[in-house]
Amino acid sequence: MSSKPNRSASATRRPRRTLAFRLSAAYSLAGLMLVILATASLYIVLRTELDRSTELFLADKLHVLRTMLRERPDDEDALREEIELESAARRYQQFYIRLLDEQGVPIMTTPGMAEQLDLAQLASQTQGRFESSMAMTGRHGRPFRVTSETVAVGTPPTHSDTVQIAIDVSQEEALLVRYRLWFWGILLVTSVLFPLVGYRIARHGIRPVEEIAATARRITSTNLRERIESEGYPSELAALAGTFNEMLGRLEESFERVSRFSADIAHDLRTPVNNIRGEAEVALARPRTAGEYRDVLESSLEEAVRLSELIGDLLFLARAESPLTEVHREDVNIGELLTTVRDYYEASANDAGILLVLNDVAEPLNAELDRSLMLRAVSNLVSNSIAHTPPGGIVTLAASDEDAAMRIDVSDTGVGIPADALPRVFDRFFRVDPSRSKASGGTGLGLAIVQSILALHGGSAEITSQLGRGSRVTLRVPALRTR
Amino acid sequence: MADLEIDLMRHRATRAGQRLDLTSKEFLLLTLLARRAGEVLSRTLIAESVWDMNFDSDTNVVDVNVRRLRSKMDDPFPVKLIHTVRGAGYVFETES
Repeated sequence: MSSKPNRSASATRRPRRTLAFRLSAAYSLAGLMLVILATASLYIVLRTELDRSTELFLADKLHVLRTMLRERPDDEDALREEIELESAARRYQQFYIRLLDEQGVPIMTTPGMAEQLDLAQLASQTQGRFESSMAMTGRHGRPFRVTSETVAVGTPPTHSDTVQIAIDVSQEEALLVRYRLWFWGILLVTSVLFPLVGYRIARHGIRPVEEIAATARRITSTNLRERIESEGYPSELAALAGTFNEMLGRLEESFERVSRFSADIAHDLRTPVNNIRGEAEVALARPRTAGEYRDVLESSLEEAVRLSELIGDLLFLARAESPLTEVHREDVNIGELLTTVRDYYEASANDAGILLVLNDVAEPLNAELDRSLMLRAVSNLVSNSIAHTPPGGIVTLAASDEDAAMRIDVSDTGVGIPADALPRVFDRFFRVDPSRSKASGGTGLGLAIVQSILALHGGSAEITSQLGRGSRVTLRVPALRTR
Repeated sequence: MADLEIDLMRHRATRAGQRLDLTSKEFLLLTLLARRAGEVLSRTLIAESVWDMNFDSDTNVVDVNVRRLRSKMDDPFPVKLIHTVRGAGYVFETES
């Protein structure tokens, strides 16, 4: 009682997340990571490519100017065309070039360059940097890449001029901005879509689990016949459902056995009780003599003895099943034990016209056993054999040493047991032929007791039989020999 | 006891001077009954004392053995010594 509120308290403190939640969270997280990785890497690639093409363009321009200044320093027209006209003709990706002499006085400038760029800033920023271009913001906020280089004029060089180039990269910047926008858009959509899709997938995946749980909830002792329909389940869950169904099968079987068992007990208890009751009622119907009362009492006593034997057997079986039952082991000579049984049943066997034989035990076989329990087990077997063997038959007792186990065989040349009944002969109250139970006086518990005695010893009881030719019961007990 | 004599030393019993041909278990059974004459002995007690079957065994077996003993030592003689007490067991008595 005390554990229950505790458990519910801890459950409210730390709410249990459903499997569907965990799965869809994991799906979405993995999906989002993938999308982020993919888009980010694409963005980085795009950006470096754009930078590279700008850089190549600048290098190309510089190379052209350098060549012109070196080869034809006096061809001003060509230079002018290169610096002033070509650039002005471009609509997109405009660039500006300025050529300065050694004193920093501009010789030639692309029109509009001063309007777009702070030229003093350009000069100071690019001072002493020839390796690569650098970013600069123009007067109207446009992004530029700028570079400058000192170029030798004439061959051989007479002096050197400075070339400054600025390229408008607003197209590229705009592209990157659009790209970033897309990036965030995709991220937004997927961050909504992934959890939804993931949840649906997870729900779909674990629906069989919920069905199994629902079936398990429905099942009580009255509808153990129900099974989980595992058709169409993925193989892992089909295996789970199969295991569950097998468990249900075993439960159903043992429930059936238990209910059959209690029906059998009720039936077997009713007969003697009814007899006692009937005799008492008849006796009391009118005055009787002392002798008649004595008869009734004696008869009642006989029935009571039968009842108490039956109850004794049931109690024995119930106790044998308890794990607390102890076996009082002692050193038992098996040959001697079998002799005791033989002596006890010899007269009965003779009466029934049956030969009861004890095969010679080669060497003294000793084992650590509970003597009275083993005596009882072997007695039950011999008693059964005598009851089911016709006159002229033979019941044989034998013992042998099987290294790991001591083996005791009780075989007969009796009526045998049908193959379909064999697996059930150790069940309580099971009788091969229900009609002969009264005649032979058996309770139907004999073999069940044998089996539980052997189980208590950690041994086994096996039966083989051929209809019309006889049966053999083999008992094996672990050879816990005394040294 | 009546005309029954039991020689424990020589494992021999005679009735009315006649030697009784008993098996060792039958002799033990007779000795048990005679020693506790007048006392009703249950089948379980008999099985335990004579055959060392110390559990509620198949008690029909005791009946069979008592019947055999009777056929040897009671049936041929007019006075019966072993009496059945229904539902309880057997008693050894000179008079019923």
